[in-house]
Amino acid sequence: MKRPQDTPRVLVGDLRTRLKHALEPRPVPSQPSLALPADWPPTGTSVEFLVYEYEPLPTGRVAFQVRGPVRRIVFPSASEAPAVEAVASARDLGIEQESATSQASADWAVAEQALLDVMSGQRTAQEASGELIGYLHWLERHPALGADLRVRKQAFFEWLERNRRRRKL
Amino acid sequence: MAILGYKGDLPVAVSFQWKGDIVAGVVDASLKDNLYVLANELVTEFEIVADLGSWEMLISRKATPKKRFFDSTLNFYVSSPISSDDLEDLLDPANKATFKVNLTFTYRTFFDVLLTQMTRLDSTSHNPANPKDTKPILDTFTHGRSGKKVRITYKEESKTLKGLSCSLRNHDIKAAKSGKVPGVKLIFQLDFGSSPGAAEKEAMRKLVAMDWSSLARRGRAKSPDPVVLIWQENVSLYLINHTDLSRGERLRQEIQDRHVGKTPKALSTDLRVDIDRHLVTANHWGEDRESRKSEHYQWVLSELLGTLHQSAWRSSPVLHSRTISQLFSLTTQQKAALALQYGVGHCGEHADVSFSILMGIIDSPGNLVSGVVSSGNANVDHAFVVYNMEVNDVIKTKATSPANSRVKVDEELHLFDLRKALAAAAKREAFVMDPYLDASVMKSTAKELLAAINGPGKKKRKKDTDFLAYVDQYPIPLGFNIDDITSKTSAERAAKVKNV
Repeated sequence: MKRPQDTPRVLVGDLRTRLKHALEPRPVPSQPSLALPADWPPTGTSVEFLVYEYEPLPTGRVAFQVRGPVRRIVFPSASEAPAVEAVASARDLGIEQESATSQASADWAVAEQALLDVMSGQRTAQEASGELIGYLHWLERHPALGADLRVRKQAFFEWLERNRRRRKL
Repeated sequence: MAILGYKGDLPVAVSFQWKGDIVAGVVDASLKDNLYVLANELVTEFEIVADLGSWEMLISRKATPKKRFFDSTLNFYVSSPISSDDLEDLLDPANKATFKVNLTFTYRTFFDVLLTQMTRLDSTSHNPANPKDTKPILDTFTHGRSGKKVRITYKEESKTLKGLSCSLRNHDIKAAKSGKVPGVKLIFQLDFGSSPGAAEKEAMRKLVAMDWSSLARRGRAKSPDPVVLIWQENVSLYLINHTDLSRGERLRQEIQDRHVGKTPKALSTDLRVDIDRHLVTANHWGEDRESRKSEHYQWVLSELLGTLHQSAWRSSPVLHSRTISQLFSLTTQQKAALALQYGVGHCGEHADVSFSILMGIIDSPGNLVSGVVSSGNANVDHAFVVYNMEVNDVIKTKATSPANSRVKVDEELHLFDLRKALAAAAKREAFVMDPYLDASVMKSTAKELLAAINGPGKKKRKKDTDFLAYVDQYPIPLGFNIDDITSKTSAERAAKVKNV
């Protein structure tokens, strides 16, 4: 992908703020995904978020029934307003529970920023591949919705897995 | 005049919404402008007085046991018939009608008191588990037992809000089939003021207590009616906007400060008692939790909360605290603060408080604790903490045992071998922090725990195992690694991890 000369860098913090406004917050537990590429390899600048419902379960340990995705929020580019749409085929995806918080969530933010850099042409996917591995850590933290995302964004996550295997070799 | 060609008297569907206040120190203020929706038949009557300058009109509703005057499809109240002439004048913006409402509703006083206690803002260290005075709480219900069956009878009160200002925010008129009455909807917004005083705050709190009362009747976990979700959101919204998390953090820090520098053995009693004093177990479970004799108030409250947990999960305060934790991605420390502010929890909340406080003790001067692990039974739905030990080897697997009541077969979980971890700890004695269980049933050392999870009862149920669940650890030891065996066959996983 060409590297545009004057494309402004999209900061993940700014995008997350815009996401928060687009979601019209309600007191209902939910989990947006990390920023996802609309397609992979990317053909444009569009990123999207998928939102899942997390219903607290009456269990002893803290656990949630994951359902979704219930909404899709698409940012066509850094400057355009997002499109928010309901997802018709929301389904029960399984149970998630508290898991190790010591896995740094900082690397998820780094991974998201790396994706935004790729989508806006600041870097190539290969240049950002080391940081993008954080997406796989995030999936491991969210096994129920992670399984759904691996299917929906198969090309992206298979590319990440190939890169992870190459790094281990 | 006619409403869409209809001339005569017609009922209107009425809805109310209102904007509440917010306190300082909330975890997130993003929902401060969210509106509460009033859709509860415990509002037994109302009268909206519309002032059109030279004259007034009334929109009223009075429900009876036989006539609900409530549209369950719309979740709107249904008024007594109004003339189409009057309605036309009301909706004419040129008339600039202003409105006041008198509204009567009933609620269970327990939930009003519970809201007051959970949203305390004062500088004391009291919470619902450890109130200044138990009488105001215990006076709101009667408790009885018939064998294992718990019977709670709630006291109720009625309240009338008089002359409350409101505004007509929206209306909708839908044509009906020929000869039928058009559907008219009026949506009013109650106005408690931009700086509500004590009376207004009490009124808003009692309206939420009314919704909580209805959740306690109809808030079953599965397939709730849509109106139940409105009540649930109202209760969660109120708690989100009225919980001072910094107060909960102060309670957490106070407990931690009382036990810094103590030996691991002393912590197993002293810290356990202190946490137990500040948390009431909110779910029924087979093992003894609060002591009927030595913790009578907590025992009675636990019995009440247990009935909510079993028959109306959406009314459990723990559902709402878990909602807040997940919605705002609270850290372990924040979750512990929230649990202590609310004074209620299942074993998960007790474990979060234990883990967070032990982390703080480890980081404090004079610390004598080597490490803490957030854990639980591998094949039972129970969470607790083990400490003064470290876990270097964790297995990520999928459950293989149909007897597992923590997770289903093929669900992922992280585990560690307690026997191996204790062997590696050599002379250092490891302990269990489980303030959820009554002291008489809790195993205070990890060695005793290992024996218990391999005991005769466990063997009989094919649940004997050396493994415990692994949730988190502090600090993470240098040699820490996770062996991922999820891709192995079920037989291979079962061979490596017994009875999980």
